[in-house]
Amino acid sequence: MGLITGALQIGRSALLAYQSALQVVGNNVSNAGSASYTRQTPVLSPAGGISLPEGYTPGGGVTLSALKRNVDGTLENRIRYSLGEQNSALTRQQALGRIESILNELSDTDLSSLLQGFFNAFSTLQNRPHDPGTRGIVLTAGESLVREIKRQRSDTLALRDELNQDLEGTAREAAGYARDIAELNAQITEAESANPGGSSALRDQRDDLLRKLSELVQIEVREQPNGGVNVYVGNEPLIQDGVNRGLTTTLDHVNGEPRTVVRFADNNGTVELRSGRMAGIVETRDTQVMGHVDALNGLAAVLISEVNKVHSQGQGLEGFRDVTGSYDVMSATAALNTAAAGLGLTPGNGSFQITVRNLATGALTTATIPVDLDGLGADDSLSSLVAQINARATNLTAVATSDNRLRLTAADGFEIRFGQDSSNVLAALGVNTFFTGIDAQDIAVDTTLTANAGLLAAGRSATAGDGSNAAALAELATRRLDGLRGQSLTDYYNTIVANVAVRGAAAKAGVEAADAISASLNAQRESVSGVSLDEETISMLRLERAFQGAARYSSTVDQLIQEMLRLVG
Amino acid sequence: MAINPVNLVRISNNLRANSLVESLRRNTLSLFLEQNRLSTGNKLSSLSEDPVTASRALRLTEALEQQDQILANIKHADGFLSATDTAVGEIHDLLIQAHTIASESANSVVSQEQRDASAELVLGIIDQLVNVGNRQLGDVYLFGGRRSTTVPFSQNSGGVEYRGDTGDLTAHVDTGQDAAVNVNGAELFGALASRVSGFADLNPALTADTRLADAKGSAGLGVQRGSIRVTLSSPATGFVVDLSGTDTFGDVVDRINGAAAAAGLAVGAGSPFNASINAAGNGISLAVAGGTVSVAEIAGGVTARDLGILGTAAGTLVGGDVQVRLTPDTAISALFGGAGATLGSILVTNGAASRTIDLSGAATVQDVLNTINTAGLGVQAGINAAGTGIDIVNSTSGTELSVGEAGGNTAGLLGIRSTYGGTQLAALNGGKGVSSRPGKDDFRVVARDGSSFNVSIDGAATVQDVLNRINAAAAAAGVNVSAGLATTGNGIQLTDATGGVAGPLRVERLNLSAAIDGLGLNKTAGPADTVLVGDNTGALKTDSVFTALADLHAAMVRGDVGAITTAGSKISALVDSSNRLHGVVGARARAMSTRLEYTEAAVDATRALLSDVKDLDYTTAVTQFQKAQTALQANLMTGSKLLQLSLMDFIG
Repeated sequence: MGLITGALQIGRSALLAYQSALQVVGNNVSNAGSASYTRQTPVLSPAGGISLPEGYTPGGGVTLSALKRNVDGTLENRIRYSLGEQNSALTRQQALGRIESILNELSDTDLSSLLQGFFNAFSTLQNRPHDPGTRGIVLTAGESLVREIKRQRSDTLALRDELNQDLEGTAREAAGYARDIAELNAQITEAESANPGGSSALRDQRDDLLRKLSELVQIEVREQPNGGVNVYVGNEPLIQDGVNRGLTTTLDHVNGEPRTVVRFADNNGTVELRSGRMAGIVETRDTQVMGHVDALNGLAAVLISEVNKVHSQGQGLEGFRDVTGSYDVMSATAALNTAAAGLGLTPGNGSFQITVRNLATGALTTATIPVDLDGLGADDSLSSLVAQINARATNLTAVATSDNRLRLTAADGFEIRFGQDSSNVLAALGVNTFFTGIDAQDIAVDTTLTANAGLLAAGRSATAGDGSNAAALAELATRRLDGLRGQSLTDYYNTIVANVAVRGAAAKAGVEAADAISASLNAQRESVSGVSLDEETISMLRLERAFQGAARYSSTVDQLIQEMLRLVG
Repeated sequence: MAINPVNLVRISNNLRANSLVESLRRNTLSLFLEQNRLSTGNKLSSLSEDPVTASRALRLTEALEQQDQILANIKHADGFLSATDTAVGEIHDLLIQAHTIASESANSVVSQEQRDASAELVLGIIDQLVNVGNRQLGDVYLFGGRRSTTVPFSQNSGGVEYRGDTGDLTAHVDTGQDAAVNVNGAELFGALASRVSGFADLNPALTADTRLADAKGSAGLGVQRGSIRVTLSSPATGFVVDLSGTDTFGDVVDRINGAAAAAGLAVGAGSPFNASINAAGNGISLAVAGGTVSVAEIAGGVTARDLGILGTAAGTLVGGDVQVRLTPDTAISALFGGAGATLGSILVTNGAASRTIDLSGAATVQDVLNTINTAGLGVQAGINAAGTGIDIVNSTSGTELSVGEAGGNTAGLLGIRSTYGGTQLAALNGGKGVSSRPGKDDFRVVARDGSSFNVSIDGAATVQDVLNRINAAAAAAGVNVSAGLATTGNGIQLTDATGGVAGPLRVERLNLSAAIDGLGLNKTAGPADTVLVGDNTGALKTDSVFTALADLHAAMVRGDVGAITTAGSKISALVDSSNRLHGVVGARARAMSTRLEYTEAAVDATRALLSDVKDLDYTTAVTQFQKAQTALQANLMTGSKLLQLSLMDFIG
């Protein structure tokens, strides 16, 4: 190589290198607002190869030897992890906030007030047991309470359905990201096999997608030597060696409750969700939302059985002419306290009294009906109970209906009253009860009472001023119940509310902590990978100056050549 | 504040922008929360904002709701007691008025015309008393007991009938405390004071169906359901019987036998072990084929004691009497330890109304009660408080009630005969008793054959004593006359078996004694009659306000100064008792008012506490709001300045 061409070559390399470096800076500047962009730094290094005639080799100019992607791989992993945590916490907080607003506590119409109001109505009834208006208030209070329990349940179930749909949508979104990542894997591998490190934009896109995916589900990313990444969910691979297994969902029914389950598309295996939005949805749905439904069911079941147990001991202003129990047994010949009978409230060994009142004379005839459920000898079934009643009580007919309920019909001119039920069999069979149903789904005020408020059992005798049973019902509000592990009904509900509040507060704290971690990690990422315009401006000036220098050098060499040519010419 | 690591080495444009966005978000959020607090007036906008405070607020709200109800109940009780207090005061005043009239009229110088005029006033007072007695508060009768919607007092020909009962109207005036808010008519006027108290212990038999709740227990303390330990000497074995959950004595027996069978013993009559109802039909017995059987309590229980089977016995451990209570559905056949009773008819007389009531169709105690109660005689039959017999209560003031036989022994059998052997002579004749001549004979009984004997009843306390004296005197004189209780109606009955025809069977007065008047024996039988039935002097009259006033009225119309004085002193006693009742009711009413005051104070205190927990402190909130506002302004200002800064502005 000649001296001159060598010198020109040096100038050319510098012009080219700085031009390219400026382009890189330009690219950085133009991506200054792009969140997923990774800042690139041009690496300029001296080129070798050109020797001077004296034998020295000062170098062959400058060359853009590499393009450095300012990225911290471990930081990316931590960011992805924190994004998962952040999203699951956020989902949890959102759902708990929804439950909190379903509870509607601290308002005047919340369930705790309605519960207290219901029992307060009984206390008022104790003052005025003869008064149809007060009876109406009790029934209305009961209906409001029932409505609120049902509303909470259906709103909570609507939330569950929403979460199921949300999970389905989220899984679809995640599947889309996985597909795109797999495609980018292929493109990056191909691009980098020809030109290592030559696919920064594709990598930025892939990093962006991996972050988005990790918002939805916790993933583990392992980069392969060929530039592709393997993505693992739980302990199983989602994308491996260029193969994307895919994600899908199925709508399963667990204990009759619809639940969306996330599965791998290739073999329908369940996906282990550790954190991320999907895990947050599943966890919230299965523990918080369904937990609240269970708590409501528990409340309703205890409310029904305890109120019925007391109510069935009492008598109204009038007796029953014809009454059919609201609960059926599965088998009329099975002992009443067995699973084969299938009663929600299990009756015990004991007895109850049926008093038949002659409407014309007011004469009372009381019959004590034993309920033998002591496990010794033959225990009473519905049909033997019916036989006992018919044998012992007069002026009434007991039958087991075709759907296995107890029906009592008074003879003409007589009415039936109940009392002193130590076996709870009347409450169990739904005779002379306040509520019907077994849980939050079907709890209702007995329509027999709403049709005739006179049957509301305020007393324990046939007198109008007897409020003793109403007093016992009012006292239920604060009575510690075995079925609630020693809590009263109002305590039990307050505990439900307090749990939601505490969990809500914990979720909120969790979100704040995850936010802080995430913000910190993002700041660190930005600190490494983000574009600073001031820096780039300085680079730009620096490169411009260098370019100007190279141009001046080239023109100097050119002048040299021209001088030489003039000598020739 | 946004948390960013401080060890950052370079700040990118995005970081600067993000950081600003984040801090602005926080500023706006806190501003929004403060605004929300200010607009709602609540410290908490959601439970999770502060679960501890929220939980306190919930509990206080609950307490407040309970207290509010209690307050409403107390107001109701207070109103009821005040109305009662006023009414009782009026009754007291009316009785004072009646007493004044009686005092003025009990004077021989008062003319009969004046007495007649005053008697009208007495009738007016009776009317007014009935009016006050029927006073309502809203739609509830103050004095009807639990029959609060039935007119409690009604005047009918015989007197004033009370149709209420003795039940209490109650209100829940404190946690776990119900208070009676009424005074019933029986307390007020003594309306149900007269009763035929059942004298016979009807002693129902224990059957397998007898409920533990219906037995007073061997110790009279009820039956506690716990566990007992049964130990046998031969074979030497023992077992524990858990009696919780048993309802009837049949259950108890079954459980004991079941536990014995589980312990490997053959069970049944004549087998190595047998638990059963004892032979006397009043308890339980445990029999073993050989050796001894003993029953002990477990862990300080009292079940064995209550069942009357605590102890050791050889062969058979016969349990004590568990004292079964009489219940409405006790069968007549189960009475008297299972011996049962054959019922016939009884004769019930109340004032002018008299009926023979046939009880032969009664199968249960309830049937007996119903038959009597529905006879339309203004009487109420019920089981007595001790659960041993039947009481018959006269609910009409001013009429006389007697319950006697109708040709049989049914009334005596059921213990509801108004005059029986045990009747105190002092209770006869409306409480005036029977007088006799100390140390002298009171009357002579002359038989149909002309033979006679003298009887002294000096020192006799009961009707049976009189019968015994007559029979003893007849025996001593060798006269074949016997005395007994009338088989129809009440009264004493003499039966002549002498077979003579010299003259009628008769009773003659001796020594001017009034005994034969008091015993209702001032009679001569018909010429052909061998039986002399004495008059009924044991009829019961309700000792009520209305009776006393009716007596006063009658005495005034008759012009009987003595009777007026008697009635006057009765009324004087009633003035005292009504004064006492007025005092008691007044004290109850005042106590309720005091309770009302302090409950109101307690409600206010809870309200204040709740407000403290739940309501917003506006001063703090406004300050917080301003702080948040200033922070946002500062942030906006610095942020916009910072973002504008760029090297670009200084080059080129």
